[in-house]
Amino acid sequence: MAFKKEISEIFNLPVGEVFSTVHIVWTDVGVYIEGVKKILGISGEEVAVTTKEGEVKIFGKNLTICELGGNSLTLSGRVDTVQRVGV
Amino acid sequence: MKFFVEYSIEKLNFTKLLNTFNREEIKIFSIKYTENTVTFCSKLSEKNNILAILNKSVYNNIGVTTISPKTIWEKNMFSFIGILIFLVIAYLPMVMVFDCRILCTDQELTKEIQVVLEDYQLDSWNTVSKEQENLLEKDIMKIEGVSFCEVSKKGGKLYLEVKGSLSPNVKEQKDCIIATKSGIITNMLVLSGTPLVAIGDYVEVGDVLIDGVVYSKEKDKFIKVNAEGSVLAESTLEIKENIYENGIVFSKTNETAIGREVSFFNKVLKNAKSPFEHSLQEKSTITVGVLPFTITTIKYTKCDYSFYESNFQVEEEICREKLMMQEIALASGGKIISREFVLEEFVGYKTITLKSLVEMKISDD
Repeated sequence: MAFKKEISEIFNLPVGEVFSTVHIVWTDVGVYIEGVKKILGISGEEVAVTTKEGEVKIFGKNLTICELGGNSLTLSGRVDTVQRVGV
Repeated sequence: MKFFVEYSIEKLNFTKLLNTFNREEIKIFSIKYTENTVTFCSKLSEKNNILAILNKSVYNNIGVTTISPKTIWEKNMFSFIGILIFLVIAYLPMVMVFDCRILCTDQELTKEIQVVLEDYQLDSWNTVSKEQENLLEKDIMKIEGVSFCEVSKKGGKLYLEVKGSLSPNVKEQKDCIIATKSGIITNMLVLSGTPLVAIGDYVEVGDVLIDGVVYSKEKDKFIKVNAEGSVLAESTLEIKENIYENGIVFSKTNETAIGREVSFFNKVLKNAKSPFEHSLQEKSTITVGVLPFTITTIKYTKCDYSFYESNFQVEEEICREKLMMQEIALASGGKIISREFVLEEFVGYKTITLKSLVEMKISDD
């Protein structure tokens, strides 16, 4: 932890930003989430997953899982909101 | 050769299963889920792992389908056939010739080209390469009378643009060039033959200007050639035109003029008014006393001569225009150096003569 703190001080960034293991890429065609621990619920309008840094909720329409595995999830459909809870 | 495996499972806790795959780092894709059924795909190498998980979880109605090229073909056979037909339709015109069009104005030459085309068999449904196009171009150029040939392929059509003629205009051989008009020669251009006149010479109509005979020093004799060239000369053109009074309208007025002619012993002492200005209406003679002294009273009706004059002027203008048109036609593209109108008046008519000096071609073509 001391190492992480030291590095974050060098870059003048918070610890969570420098060593974030959760990456979310949101595009027009869908969302890619890395660092998925558990899927909480799936429906066409809402997908909820837990990550190492908290819960992520994706709201939209016609949401479908394109790919899952290796702690990553790819969703397609019209994504309206990506909400990070407890980060 | 097998690509991937498709699974279909009924009545399961889908979220739990997904979490298991995620935890075990097994990649699945093309996930479709309804209320009762879930379908997903995985790599063939992951099949055993997935089946192990599914068996451990005790799911009923597990459907496993291995997707191979054969199954893909069976599923999408009509789509593939459609794509194939489209590609064939799009590709065929690029390599094949369906129609061959000859762009040539000469009919006889077109027939000759068609004969050449028969050798190549390019009528329809045949391929044509760039080399064949070049060869065809060369073969067409070999035809006598062809001056230009271009073979180009646009879509399924082969265009042959050919210029030239099989029946060229053969000019008649001319023995000599004769002057068609008289005049002083100002310019000469001899292309073939021997000039018999020089610049500044006066020539009459019928004089030989260029003779179709040349002297060959090598052969030491006269050789007959085609007389060719053009000769310009200053020639005088003279065109005459008459203007008649015929058809001119005298408009009479009601004004009466009286003219008196006094005479003694039949010798006229005083003239009456000129009949040119008035038309004669009435004439009466009185004898005064016993002396042979007579007064003749002449009544005239006044005429409107102004109309007559203007009409004549208009006629003259029209005539001048007419003469100039004739002059331009006679000059036949020559250069008019000077122009002069000569007006002569006669009884009842006038004559306009146009004398012009023109530098024009006097050699016959």
